[in-house]
Amino acid sequence: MNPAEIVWNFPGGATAFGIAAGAALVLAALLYCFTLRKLKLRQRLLLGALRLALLLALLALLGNPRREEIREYVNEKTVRLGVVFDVSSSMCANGLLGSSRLADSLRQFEEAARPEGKVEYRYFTIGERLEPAASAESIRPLAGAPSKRTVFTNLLDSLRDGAALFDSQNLDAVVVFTDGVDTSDAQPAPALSALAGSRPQYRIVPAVTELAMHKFLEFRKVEAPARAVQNATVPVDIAASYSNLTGSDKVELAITDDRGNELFRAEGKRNGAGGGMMFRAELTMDAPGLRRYTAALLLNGRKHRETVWCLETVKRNRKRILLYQGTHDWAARFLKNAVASENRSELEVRRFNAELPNNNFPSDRELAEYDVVILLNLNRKQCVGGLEKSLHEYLKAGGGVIFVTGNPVIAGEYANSPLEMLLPVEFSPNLNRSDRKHALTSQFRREIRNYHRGVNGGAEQRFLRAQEFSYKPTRLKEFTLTPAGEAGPMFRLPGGGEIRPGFLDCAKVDAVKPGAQALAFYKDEKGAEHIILAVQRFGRGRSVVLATDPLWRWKLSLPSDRRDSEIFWENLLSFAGDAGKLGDQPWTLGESQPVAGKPLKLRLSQPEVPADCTVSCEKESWSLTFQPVSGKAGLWESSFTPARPGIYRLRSGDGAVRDFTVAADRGNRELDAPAPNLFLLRQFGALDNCRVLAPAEKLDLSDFTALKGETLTERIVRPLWPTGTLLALLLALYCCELILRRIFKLV
Amino acid sequence: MKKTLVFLLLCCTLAALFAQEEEFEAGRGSRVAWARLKFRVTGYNPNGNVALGWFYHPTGDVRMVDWLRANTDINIKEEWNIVDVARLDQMCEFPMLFLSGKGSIDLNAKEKRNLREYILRGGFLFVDDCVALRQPKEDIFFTSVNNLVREILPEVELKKLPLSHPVFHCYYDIKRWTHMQGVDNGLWGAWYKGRLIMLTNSSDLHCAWTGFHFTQAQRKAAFQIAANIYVYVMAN
Repeated sequence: MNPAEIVWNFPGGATAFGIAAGAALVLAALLYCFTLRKLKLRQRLLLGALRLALLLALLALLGNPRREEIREYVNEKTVRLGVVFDVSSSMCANGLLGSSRLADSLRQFEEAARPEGKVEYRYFTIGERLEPAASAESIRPLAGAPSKRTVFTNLLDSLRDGAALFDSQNLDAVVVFTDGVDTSDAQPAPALSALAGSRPQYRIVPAVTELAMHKFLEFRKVEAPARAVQNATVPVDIAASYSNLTGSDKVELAITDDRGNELFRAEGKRNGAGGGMMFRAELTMDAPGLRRYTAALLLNGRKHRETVWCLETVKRNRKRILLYQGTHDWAARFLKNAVASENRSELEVRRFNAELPNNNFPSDRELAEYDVVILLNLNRKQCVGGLEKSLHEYLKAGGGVIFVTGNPVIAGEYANSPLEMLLPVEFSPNLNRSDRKHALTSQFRREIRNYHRGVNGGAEQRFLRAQEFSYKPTRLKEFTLTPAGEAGPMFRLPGGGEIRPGFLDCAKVDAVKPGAQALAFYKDEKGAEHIILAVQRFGRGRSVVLATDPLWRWKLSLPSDRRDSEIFWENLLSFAGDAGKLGDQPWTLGESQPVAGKPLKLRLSQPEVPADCTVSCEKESWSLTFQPVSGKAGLWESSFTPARPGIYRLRSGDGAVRDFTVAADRGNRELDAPAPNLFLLRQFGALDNCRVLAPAEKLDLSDFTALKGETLTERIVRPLWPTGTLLALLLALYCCELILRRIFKLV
Repeated sequence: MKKTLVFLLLCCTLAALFAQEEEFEAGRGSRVAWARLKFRVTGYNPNGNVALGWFYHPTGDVRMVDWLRANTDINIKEEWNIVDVARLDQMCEFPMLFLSGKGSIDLNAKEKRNLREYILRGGFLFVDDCVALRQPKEDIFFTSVNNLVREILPEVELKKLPLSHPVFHCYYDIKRWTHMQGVDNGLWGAWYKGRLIMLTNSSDLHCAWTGFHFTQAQRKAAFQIAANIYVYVMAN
């Protein structure tokens, strides 16, 4: 408590009070210096003193003197401190120096400075879940030898669930001792969000004791299509992760088919002792049917891990392609030749004709027979009679549409049109000006204008002389590929090399739509980039925009033994036309690498309730029952626990098949990659209410003393003397003065 | 005042011209241009002078281009170009080359290779034998071009097109072949591995485009058959 102080706040401060007091004195003196009636000095002094006292009392009232006192109260509170120990296998395995991470963490806790005042500790452990513990002494590694136990750390899910528990127990702070190893497939975001929204302050103490080396090599994911067209080359991307490998360790990936033929083998490129590696294989689909492929990771020539997937090869029927052109164009001839030379497709050419039924565009039933529809230089005003609606339904059902025009006037008309909604780009509505007239020919035209039944010989001679050696070939503009274009198969030549089409005219594209991919662009002289090839999925189909002329000039510019043009068109037509036939894999697995004995979530995508769905392994088969996934129409979920390792096959009632591998319970996954996951822990350090200690930093729990109690401050103000008394004094002084003035016969 | 009016008039004219250009592009497909092939001939020696026979009357070509621009939706430019058979790069800028000549076509080895390569890349030749007035009727040029194509492409198949062939009906419905002058061989086509690579005739359609002494009906027929040829080849 602070001692009481006397404060006052006269306007203008002490100086002003002095001046006012002086003025009061002068006023009081002047009042009774000069009176109408002669008074004795004693009388003047008495009256003047009374008046002065009155004025001074008034001044004092104005200054509002008061006594102020500040009192503090400390609200003694008990600090509730949560202490969480990760007791999973990676924490319990003995380190290189004999002590485990858990033992080091317990010691660190014991040696840490404690907060002052009353502290209540609540203990928890994290292993497969968050569980309360009685005391620090009761915390021991989970039973069993670390290498034999199958313990998974659900660190992230435990922290996420723990945040709510810590709030409900009114914990002021939580200290977590962990190495950050989480062997579930959980993502950090839910745990981060839960901790950020909870009340306690968090301290994360990383356990960084080094453990014995254990070579780890594992598949992370296999990305392969579920279906492919016969004779297509299918890319398969395989990601693997590894740790604790030495420089002499050699990692290879081998892919074999179900006939035992080795289709692919490559050595993995490593950078350091731990990390990830990617493999990309290209497999050619030969005969139609369902084929199982096995990928094996070989460590120093020995099989270390294996996984399977299956792929259905769809018989390649001849693709039916419709070229619907708005105007006559040389593209029809060159496309026909390109398609005929590949001999895998049939091209039908139709041109807009207002005199024919439906303007010579196929009916919906006829349209469904085509795999790809190419719209070439189709003017906006030629999109009549429900053409746009037909194309919309056609695309949704799995058809492919390729919109080709290099005429910016045609393209500009489609800006904000219903057809543009189906396409992956937005066209610029700004029309481009055409080429200027050819001066020499214009001049010649003027000279022959009046010669209807003959020639102007002189004009012809001049024209010929001027034109004969004047022609300069035009350099074609080249496609520049985006990263997506380079990565995809569209511009690849079999056997290596890249296709780079050339063009002369292009239409203006304002933007590529979200979800669409630009595959190629053109950079003009000013450095501006113009998108010229873009693709997107639409419904079950694909739409493509080629915003250039139809590339016949490029074909003419290539030597006749080069098949770049034919291959490019084949690739483009395959891309657009195969989507509907192939579709996505309807089965998805909840785990990328299922393990025997662990429940596995299965999802199936189909419009109706799945029936007759089974999962089988060797000669055994089990039926599956499904529940709808909430909020997702057409998606169904089931659960299955594979009892033993092996290759399993899922089959739906309408024939969708997926093979997957179930691995044996390999023992403790945590010891496969035992390095502390400081990267994960640092993400928690970014939260406002969380701090991650540096590995060598000492834990100091006395920081939490500040949380222990609240200090309440009270300010007491009393006037120096009661206002009523002061006012009574003023009145009394005034009355005395009046009485004396009467006695002294001044009034 | 006068100068201002003239200036305004000029601006309006230019604006109208540009507007017309944009209108022309609006309904059209990919741009293309007309080109005449330049080559040597032999065996033709009018007045004792050796003359190149490829160059006669560009008026006809220009009028044909105008006909196509006015009567079809082909986005063909107004210009008329000459490309040299010795320059493959020039030839390969045009999907179709027009050959008109008198005398026997005479190419050296490189030019023959160029012509063969042009055809193999997908190019097309439209050949029209030019007939000189007051000269004996002959179809030397027509015959020599056919022989040349047989020489450079031995697997080529040459045959005369009947009136029922789609080329006569694909744009205009042509019920009879209108022979202008010279030797009437009709319209011949050359196919290489199933692909149409050339159409030749010795009826001097080109002269009818030019005008001269032909009737309006003959000129129209000449324009129509050429338009049909152009449109047919664009899609075949």
